[in-house]
Amino acid sequence: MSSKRFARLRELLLRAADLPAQERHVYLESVCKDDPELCREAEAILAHDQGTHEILKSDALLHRMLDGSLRPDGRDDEPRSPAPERDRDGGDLIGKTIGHHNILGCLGKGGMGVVYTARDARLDRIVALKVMRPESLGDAHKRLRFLQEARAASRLNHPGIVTIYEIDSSTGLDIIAMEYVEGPTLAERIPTGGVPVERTLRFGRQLADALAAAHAAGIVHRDLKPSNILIAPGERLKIADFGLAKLSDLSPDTSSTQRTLTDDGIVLGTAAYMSPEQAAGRAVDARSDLFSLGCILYEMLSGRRAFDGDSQAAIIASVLRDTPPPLADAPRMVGALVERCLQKNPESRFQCAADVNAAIEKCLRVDSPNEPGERSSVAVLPFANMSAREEDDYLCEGLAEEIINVLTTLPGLAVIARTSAFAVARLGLDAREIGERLGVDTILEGSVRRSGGRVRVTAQLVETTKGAHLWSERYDREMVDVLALEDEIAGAISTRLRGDMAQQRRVRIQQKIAPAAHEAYLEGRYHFARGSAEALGRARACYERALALESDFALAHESLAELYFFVGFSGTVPPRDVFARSAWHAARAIEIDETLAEAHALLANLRKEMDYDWDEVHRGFCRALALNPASPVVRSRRAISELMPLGRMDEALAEMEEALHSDPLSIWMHYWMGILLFLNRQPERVIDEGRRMIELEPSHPLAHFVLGGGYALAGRYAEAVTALERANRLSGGLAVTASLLAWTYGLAGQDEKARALLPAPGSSIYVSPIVPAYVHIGLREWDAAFKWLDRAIEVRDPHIVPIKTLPILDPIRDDPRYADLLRRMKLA
Amino acid sequence: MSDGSDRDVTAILRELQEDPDRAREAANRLFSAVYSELRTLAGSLMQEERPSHTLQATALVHEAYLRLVDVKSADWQSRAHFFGVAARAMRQVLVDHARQRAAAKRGGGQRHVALDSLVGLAAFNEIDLLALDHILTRLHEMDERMARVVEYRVFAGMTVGEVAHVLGVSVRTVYDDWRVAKMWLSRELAERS
Repeated sequence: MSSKRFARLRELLLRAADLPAQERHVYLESVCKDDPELCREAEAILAHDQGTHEILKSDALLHRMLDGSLRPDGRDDEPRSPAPERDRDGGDLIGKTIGHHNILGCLGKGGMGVVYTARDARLDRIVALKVMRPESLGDAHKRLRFLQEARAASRLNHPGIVTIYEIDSSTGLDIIAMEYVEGPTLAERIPTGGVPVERTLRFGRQLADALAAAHAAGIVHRDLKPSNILIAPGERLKIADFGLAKLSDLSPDTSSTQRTLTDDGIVLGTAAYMSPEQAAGRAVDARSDLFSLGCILYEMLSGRRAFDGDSQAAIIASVLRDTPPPLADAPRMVGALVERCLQKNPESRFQCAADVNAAIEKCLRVDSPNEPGERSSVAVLPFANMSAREEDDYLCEGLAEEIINVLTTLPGLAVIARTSAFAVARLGLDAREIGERLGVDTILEGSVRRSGGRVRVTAQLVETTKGAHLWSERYDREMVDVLALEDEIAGAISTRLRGDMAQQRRVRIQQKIAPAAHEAYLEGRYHFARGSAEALGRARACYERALALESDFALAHESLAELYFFVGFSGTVPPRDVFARSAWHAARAIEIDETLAEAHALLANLRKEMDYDWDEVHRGFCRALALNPASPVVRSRRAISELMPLGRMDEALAEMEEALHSDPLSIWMHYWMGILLFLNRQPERVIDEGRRMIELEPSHPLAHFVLGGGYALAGRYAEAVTALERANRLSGGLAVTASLLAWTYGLAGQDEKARALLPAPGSSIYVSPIVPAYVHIGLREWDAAFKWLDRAIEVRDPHIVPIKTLPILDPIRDDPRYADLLRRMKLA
Repeated sequence: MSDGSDRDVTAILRELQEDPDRAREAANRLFSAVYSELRTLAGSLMQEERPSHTLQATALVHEAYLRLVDVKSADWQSRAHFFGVAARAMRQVLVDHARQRAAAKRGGGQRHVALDSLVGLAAFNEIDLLALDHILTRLHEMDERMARVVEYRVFAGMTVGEVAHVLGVSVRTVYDDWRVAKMWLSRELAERS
């Protein structure tokens, strides 16, 4: 189109767009008699007047408009209305209108501005409207940063955080519209005698959960205190003013251009809840909020502030210097938890909110072992296949697995993991026996029948002590609606077990997946669960097929990443190559659906395997835990990938216990538990773990491996050799079993057998360097051992990761070359 | 950061306003300085600073501004100029990235794409982005000003007032351009997908 014609089109569009829809056609026809084609063109374009294309209103692109001239819904076609008159003390805006907000009443005044209740006329809802005092924002650049930070906070979406709806400056006033919460603040609800322990812990759990979500999004509160915490009906806490402390934070000397948005200055807010690093004007991070949380818990438990004084300066001095008196009346575990939050050195505190949450959970369990109905538990069994087709087995298992995944994201519900739930189903037990075996009070079972494009599902929830039916339902759906059906069934179960439809922590991205791709994916999951080398090959082919049909299928990417990760552990190929593939698919999965907790955990794992980037590993797990703290996969991966390599064995063991709680029958969970106990030098418990594994799967190589490892650690070499030879035979000589056997031969004085496990020189078959390394350590040939250990780091062999605690390396720990290895792994 | 003449963005901005003869050449220098800063920022953002965040174009532009320009001496006009150039640079960074990714997908070449470059940018669908780039190029031929308005609004998050200042037109004109552009682009994008 020529410029001239386009200019005419522009005019036509502007005029026509102002007319009611039904008059547009007549108008265009009348003015475009000479050019009917242009008339048609204009009408086609006008059809898009309302629905603006995604990319033009996408969050990433447009929400962050600095001066707020663009409102969140993307409508800013009209020039701004003039700013309402600004009043002096901020009180008499009541009855006035700011933008589309009608001010109803005043909620309170604070350092930054006045908070009103207002009606959002556009969406017809009541909001809390914070009208910023202009001078509180300082100069234009501070304002810019503040608004930017507020916008970041507005992206937080968590039931424990007051939602920011809108940040707008188009009226000339800076306003922040927020969720209106009806209820008192926590500050008004702490009596002088304190709050009962259990209630404090329940509140603490909610706060830690909300903090975890915010921290994972990169947002630190910086001004967490009881008056910023609202108590909504139903004892639900909501934290207000996230990231807004930024404002007072920008002291005049921080305007250097090199300072980034995450820089920190001194906050002039309530000093009593401020961390020492913040009080000292040093950089703060998420751990600063955990200190504040500690202050709040302390105050709730004791009825008095942890740090107090007559003046701001006295309080700051107390924060920096004093240790508050111990909480005499609280249980020891609870006191220890608060004490850990209140450590002056951030390194000595909990390192992330999810850890605080886990510690609180533990206290709650000890404090009130039987909370009736509080924490229901459920095992979802694979659905019975009622079709003639064997292929529908995939669907039956897949449906159950997806329901498990949705259920684990619901708070207050203990869900048994797939492996254990499916294992118990194969044993043909009745409801009561399953309940005992898995420690659950309900099971979900059902059947699937597919015919053509339709699927009929029955589901029933059975109580395990008496076998009573709590709920049952039949569904008849199109195959394409299976994903929605999974959510629906999970929702029904939650309603039944918790008495309400819990808010899902994670809103699943409902990808529209072609049924054929979805089926290929389910088939892949089915094979992957079988675990043999052949099954893995089949699983991979299925995932590849799914991705060929739907290149943006997040779950298929995630599964393929998991598969390659698994292959990297086998030691049959150079790990670095397959780990890179795994990372690629994990990153793709996250790119498509950022809420996949297990993909975050996997990517964090790979950060460990490939980069030895421990900070990045920590961040990845914080995000994963924030998304799904109940996932045994996330917790076990964190134990072995974040905590174990750093030598934080107590925490690693605690995480693994949690994971085993949800997945008690998984051979892998027991394997990792065995490894952790081995690294922690507890031979008796390793042997127990091995025996339990043999009970679960008598001919699993790893079961005999763990048993043999326990014997070797106990110095019972003959028994160790027997068990490990069996393990190595069963595994077909995989690196994991061969290496430990080689080491044990050396310890047992069977040098020749050890040497026989060395790879044949010049062989083209890849052998994990860990095997020759262990052979040489067992034979006390240090030079050769170091050569292979070096090589292990080079190819990123996963077996070298526990380097800090591995008992096998004890004899070389004083060698300077060992220190070099540590440095290379960034563990020195 | 004023570390050398090429990257002394504050000085370039002053030149832009004070010396009409050298404005074009100054704009070019500004473009390359901003482009490379945005690339660096995008890279480091994805690598370490905010691992799980999607990359936000306008946030990046603002961050680049804070890093490159001596905010004490910069005024509102120079900020508008900066953002005008940054919008173009941001568009280029995103389009380069999308092309690279699209190519990697076609070739199935995992090897060519660094892990870090994949973690960010989740909010952008590269197909839409490339389409938008293409359509904007076409729009530029028919109505240069309107194409600019879109570029400034979308890639640098400039306000209507800032756009009006950079383009030297009235606020009303910018509103009208933006309004028409949204309809027109929505339709073009819809037709392509």
